[in-house]
Amino acid sequence: MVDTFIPLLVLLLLLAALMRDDFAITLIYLVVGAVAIGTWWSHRSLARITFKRQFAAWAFLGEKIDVGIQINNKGWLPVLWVDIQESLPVALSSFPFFEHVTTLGPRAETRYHYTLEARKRGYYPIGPLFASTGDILGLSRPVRLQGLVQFLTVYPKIVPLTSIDLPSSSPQGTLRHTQPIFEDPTRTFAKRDYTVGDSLRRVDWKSSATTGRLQVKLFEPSIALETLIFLNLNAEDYLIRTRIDSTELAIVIAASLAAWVAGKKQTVGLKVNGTDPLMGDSLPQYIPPRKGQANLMRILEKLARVEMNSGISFVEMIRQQRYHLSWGTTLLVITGLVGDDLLDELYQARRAGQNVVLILAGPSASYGDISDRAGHFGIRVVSIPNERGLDIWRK
Amino acid sequence: MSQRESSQEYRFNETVFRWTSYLLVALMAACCAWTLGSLLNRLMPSWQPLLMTTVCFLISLDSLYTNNRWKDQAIFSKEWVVTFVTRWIVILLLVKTLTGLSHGLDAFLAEIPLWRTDFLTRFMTNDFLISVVMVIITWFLSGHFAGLLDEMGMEHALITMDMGSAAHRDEPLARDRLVSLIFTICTILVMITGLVRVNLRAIFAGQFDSLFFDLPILAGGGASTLAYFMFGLALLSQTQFISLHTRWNLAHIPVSKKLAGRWALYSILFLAILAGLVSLLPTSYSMGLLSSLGNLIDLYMQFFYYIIGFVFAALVLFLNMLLSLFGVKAPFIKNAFPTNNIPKLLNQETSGGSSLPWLDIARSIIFWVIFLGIIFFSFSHYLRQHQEVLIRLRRIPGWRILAQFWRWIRGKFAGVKRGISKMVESGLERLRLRREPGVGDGKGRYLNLKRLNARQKVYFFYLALVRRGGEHGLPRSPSQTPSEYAATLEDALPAADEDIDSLTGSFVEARYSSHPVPPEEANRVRTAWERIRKILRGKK
Repeated sequence: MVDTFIPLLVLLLLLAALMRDDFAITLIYLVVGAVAIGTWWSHRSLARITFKRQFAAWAFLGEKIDVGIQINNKGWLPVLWVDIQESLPVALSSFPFFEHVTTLGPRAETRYHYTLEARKRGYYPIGPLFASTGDILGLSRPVRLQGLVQFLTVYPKIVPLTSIDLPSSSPQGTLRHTQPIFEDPTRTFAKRDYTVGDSLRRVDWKSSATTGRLQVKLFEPSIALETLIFLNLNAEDYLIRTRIDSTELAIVIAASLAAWVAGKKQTVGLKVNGTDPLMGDSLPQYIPPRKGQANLMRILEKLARVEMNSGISFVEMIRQQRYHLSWGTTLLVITGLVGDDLLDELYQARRAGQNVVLILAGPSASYGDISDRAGHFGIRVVSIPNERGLDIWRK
Repeated sequence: MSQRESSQEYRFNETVFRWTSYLLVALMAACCAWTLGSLLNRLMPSWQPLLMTTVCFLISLDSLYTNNRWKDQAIFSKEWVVTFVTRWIVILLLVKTLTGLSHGLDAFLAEIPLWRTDFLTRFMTNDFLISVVMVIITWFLSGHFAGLLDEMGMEHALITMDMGSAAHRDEPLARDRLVSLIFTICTILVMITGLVRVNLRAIFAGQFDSLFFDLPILAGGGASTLAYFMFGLALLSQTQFISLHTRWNLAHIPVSKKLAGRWALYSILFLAILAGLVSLLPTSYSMGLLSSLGNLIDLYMQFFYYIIGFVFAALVLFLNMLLSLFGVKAPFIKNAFPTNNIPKLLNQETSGGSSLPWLDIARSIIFWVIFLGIIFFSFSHYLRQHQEVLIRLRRIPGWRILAQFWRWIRGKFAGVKRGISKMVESGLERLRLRREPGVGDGKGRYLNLKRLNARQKVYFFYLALVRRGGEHGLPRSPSQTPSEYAATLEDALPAADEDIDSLTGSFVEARYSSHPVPPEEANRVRTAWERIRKILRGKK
């Protein structure tokens, strides 16, 4: 565009120099003024625009997220036109993507709303928001401003589980058990007459005084389920054809199990060898076993963000972690393919008093073989080839 | 707004802006005719510029209006030839009648019988031929403008999109061609206006001391050329709107309803402000660039001279007072205060200026500052648009030093600007605080917990946890989620593990769920918070 008025300007300058004429100088002012004021206006007005994006930063799968955008003109100069364009991940939005053209008076504001759909778990950037404007005459190039990026976490799918039978050896918890070895002295469920050999500690003196016979308390056995979920997101440990689906299924299994354990008011933790984009490194991610909803949300957030990677050995990760776990802890090991080294490591864990459940996520041709081999070590194997496979824990 | 409403609105806007554009093009054609007429008037004093200006205005409107109809007819078809020939016969007769009438009705009536005797000489007079040339140029230029305006419309854009025509891809955009056309015509008009100001007789007579007429700014085609440029700018504004609007419509981007109205309003305001500013700026100077610069330095030196003089006078006064205490006569009484013996400020060049020499100096300085600013702006704008030239310039030896110097200057100016902005901002802030005494004293922020509902109470206790945590060296980082922050707190306060979990869980539920929060939940959170607070106190 500049090429068009440069010859005119040169001619005017020549005329002004030769004639010292008011006309030429006035026209120079007009030519340059039109370009300069127009350019200044567009730059200045864009610099005074501020954006604010409001939305709930966490969402469950399938939820609709309402995003509000507030555009403010903080200056006294009106904004002739501004094209607002939002960069959105395709996993959350579909065509037409958010784009609007508006005009803003001095100190004016405008609001827009659009909806995102949490269709896939993940950690998504919302934005940046681009605002572009130009001068009224279209003589200079449009100017563009880039707004902030915010993030939205979509939690993974949680399948409500009802009937999981997880082994545990931690005594005195809140879960009922069948083995009398885990009797809980705080849970009296009946009384009977004293027989020789009963411990005096079990005698219920009040009942004995009332009945006139020695009565002993019968305790209900209970266990505490301290669980740590080991999730394998090493790409090489899954079949290449179903790698993406299988890892996603593994995440769904981990989330569902964590929700179930937390729902039972038991402690649950997570160790995963995936990459968390927030952490900036590819070290294994660990959330220590704790009780409560807050810890479950922490696990779900991690599972929402974590991505498949390659290179971090799953067996090594289990080996490093299991030494820090207490006796009786239940290890839920979720993986795709199982090698001898993994079975060996899980056997060592079992020998150390920890309970192991091996869960195969995704289609596995050698389930029978793995099950047999694991059976020798006393390890329970569950195969979940697809999401419907979780129905075994829903009956 | 539905797609249909949007489309209807677009059609309405396009029609309004198209007709406004036609009117502007016709006015521009009239301005061109007036400027050319000024030159012709200089060469042929009998020439009537006003008459041809009116004719060109009407011819332009006709060309713009009928352009679409011409397009529908096949060129050189029978229908086209008949329309073309009849139209031009009417136009030529009209032009002949008007040029004939410009010399008076009697002269025109007397001229008619002579056409039979010598048609070519009597009918095809010089003024008629020149008028015909002007009309033909106006006709075709207006048609060209109409074609370009059509190309910017939605209809043409849809056809091009449907055809996916590769042939048009290398061609510049219609709007770029329009801008180029407007500026090219403006350049020609400036040349014509320049020629009007040249004393051709003096040149032919060899008198080179008075080459140019000293005409007022608006005389000799100046007004019409300036008007052409202003109308051109208005047309650029219109076409910018219509081309942007077309682009947005093609991309199905919703456009604010207010935009069309505001565009028209801001265009008028923009042109009015531009014209107002230009009319205020000095267009003449009584001093050259170096004289203005010299005077500016003189002014600066004079200011310092006065400052030094006053400091010196104060010093002398103090010393004299001190010596008078010892009975010594003041030795420095002579020439202690600054005298009028200062550098002469005005140059000889200003003698022919206004009665106020200071006004002359100020006007000249402003003129040169603006003039140099314009040259600098044009140069930098050109370089910004032509990066390849900039790359070549960077290879020139010494450019790096110049660039460093420029950066240094810019840095200094930016620093000064920042300092001033900061100072002004802090001053305004102080004023605001004085005006609003209630803002900073915290009285207005009193919160009655009893008036809060259960959800708000949960928020309140969680925020209290965050605040107290921060006070005890456990601040929440902006990137931390509630659960991540809870983990941080739990690591530091293992005794409050359960309570922190419970409070955080309740907060997350209150914040991100839509179901009502029961008052018992708020009480439970309060109890948890009180326990955490005790542990936090213990930590202290």
